Amino acid sequence: MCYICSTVFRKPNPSSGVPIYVQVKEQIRHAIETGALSPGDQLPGIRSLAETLVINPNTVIKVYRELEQEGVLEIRHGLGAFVAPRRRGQSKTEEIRDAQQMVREFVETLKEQGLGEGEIRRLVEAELAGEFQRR
Amino acid sequence: MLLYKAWAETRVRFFAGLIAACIVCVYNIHVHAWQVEMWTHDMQNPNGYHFSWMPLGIHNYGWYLWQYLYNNYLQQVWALFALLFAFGGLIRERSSGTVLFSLGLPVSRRRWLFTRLAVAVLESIALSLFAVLVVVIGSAVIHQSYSLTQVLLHTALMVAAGVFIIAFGNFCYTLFPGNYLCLILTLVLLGVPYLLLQTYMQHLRYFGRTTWLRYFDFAHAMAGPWLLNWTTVPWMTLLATWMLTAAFAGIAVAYGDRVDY
Amino acid sequence: MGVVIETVALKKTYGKHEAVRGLNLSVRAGSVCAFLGQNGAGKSSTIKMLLGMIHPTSGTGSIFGHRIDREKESLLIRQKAAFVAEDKRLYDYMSVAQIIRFTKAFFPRWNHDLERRLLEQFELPTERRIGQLSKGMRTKLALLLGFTRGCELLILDEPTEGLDPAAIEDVLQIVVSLAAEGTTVFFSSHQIAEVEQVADHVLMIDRGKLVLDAPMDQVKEQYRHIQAVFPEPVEERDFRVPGIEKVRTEGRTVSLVASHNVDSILEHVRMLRAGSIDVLPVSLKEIFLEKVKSR
Repeated sequence: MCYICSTVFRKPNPSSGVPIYVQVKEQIRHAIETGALSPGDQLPGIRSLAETLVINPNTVIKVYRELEQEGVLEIRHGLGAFVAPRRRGQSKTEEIRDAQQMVREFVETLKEQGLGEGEIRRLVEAELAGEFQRR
Repeated sequence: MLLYKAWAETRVRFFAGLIAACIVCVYNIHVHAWQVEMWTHDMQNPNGYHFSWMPLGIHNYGWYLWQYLYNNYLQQVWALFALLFAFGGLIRERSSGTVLFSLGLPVSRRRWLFTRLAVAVLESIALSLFAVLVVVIGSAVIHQSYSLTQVLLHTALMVAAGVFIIAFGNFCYTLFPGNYLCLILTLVLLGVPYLLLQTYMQHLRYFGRTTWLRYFDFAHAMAGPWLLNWTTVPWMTLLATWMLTAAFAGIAVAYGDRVDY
Repeated sequence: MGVVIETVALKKTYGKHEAVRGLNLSVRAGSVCAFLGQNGAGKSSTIKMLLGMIHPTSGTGSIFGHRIDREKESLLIRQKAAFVAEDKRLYDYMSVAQIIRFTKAFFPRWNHDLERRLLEQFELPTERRIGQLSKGMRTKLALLLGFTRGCELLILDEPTEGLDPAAIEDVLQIVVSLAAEGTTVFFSSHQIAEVEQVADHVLMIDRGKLVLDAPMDQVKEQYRHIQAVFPEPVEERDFRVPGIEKVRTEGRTVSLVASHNVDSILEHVRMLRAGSIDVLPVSLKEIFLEKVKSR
């Protein structure tokens, strides 16, 4: 079992409300932020990670694929998944991290005002949908 | 591997059968001298028993072997154990909880059944040959001569007719699984009539009489007349026995195919 | 590769009792498919029908394209599919090594490496008779005999029953490892947590009928628990919207379980002038409890 697997990754909680693949994506992002994984580092193979975390291999595939689409990872055909190199200026993960912080604060504010989670989501989606229409 | 499994499941019975056959043969051979003495004494005594077979019994050891072993006690012991060898199989595994493992293997139900029957037949043959061995050794010990050919022929006849017992035992076990239940059932259904008929027909034959019941005298089919050759082998009865064997085996197969585990 | 297990209107009736009523299931190649249901819901009967141990009353099915209700084809199925029953008893008179040798003889693609690894991992004493093993060891042995057959399909009935948490994790890890190699796994379980952990497809059976058949991701992403409080008391019939699986009202509070269409449902709820709305994820356990109607 690869050493990265056991030190960097924690077994996700299947019963929490958060889907397993989201938890694992978060762990990877966190690992990159904290520097446990640096740009160019190779991530564990699908089978290795699935075995270490004892989760379905398809879940690992989904995690890697989505992170690749988000620019966090690079999948080199035949070799595996690697941490994507830093973008010029701020890395994508850092961008997202900042955005995440803003969203967190924003959601907290709205909650303090008495809005429910469902309502907040509706408002955001409506805003985005409206954005789309306005263009 | 299936043969090994069937063997492992019946080997205790097999060794018990060897011991029982040994005891029966040794005992009867051992008391031969005493019997001969008794008969000679009776024949000489005007007030004693006079049976028409006594001269034969006194002078012909070969006849003695046939009468006491193949026409009676060894045959009965062998029949009992042939029956016991036939007990078991997939139905039995239901209660020991392993039937789903067995059925999960890529082995058809028929193959399980036929392997089981084959092992029972092989064990029965081995048992009968072991008895021959005991007879050979025992007879040598008491310095008596006899025709080995006749002994072997009678062994062969006993087994040839006796396969019916195996098929019947297996059939009963399939319908009424459980060692004790099945044993009691087969003893009642088969054993008692067999023994009664054997005794009755032997009695009748002594007086030179016979009835229609002779067609059911299974014991006689297994023993045959004391001198066996091509013409005296009871072919008709043998054929009937084999047909019954096939029928019971066929029913066991068909039933086994339909059972839900 | 497509569909590995398929049933069409599979039915099993025991006398008057309908154990399995018109089951149509399909399991895709390479998936880890969990089969959930209460005791007596028809899980074991279904599995036994798939493997030829029970004859269907009507309907049919196939595994790898071979018919389950034809003896000869069923034999082919059992060459390619490894089955571990709920009752994990084995031949008491054989030793561990003997039963491995026995089982190995039927499977030319036996995985010797995995056998060695598992013997070590499970700490199974090779020379001890099975009758003298503890129940946990027997379970591990039964699982070992299933995993090492080198089959493309694993059918497991309550695989982790009676095992301690460490052993359960070991077993799940092996399942995941085999799945990564492309083995299809079809297992029935009562342990919802382990199902959530490794399964990528869920089948739920209740009283002989399939009440859920969906990918795990879909279930996790689409099932939502919606709790809303209204200014005035509401009734169940106000909530007849497609997608709502269960409604519970108590005065002014309503609790909904939705399987899809969450957005329309929320709009509907808003239309009814809900004061506060909470949208929460639903655990598989809750979905199971909702689907399995109380008797």
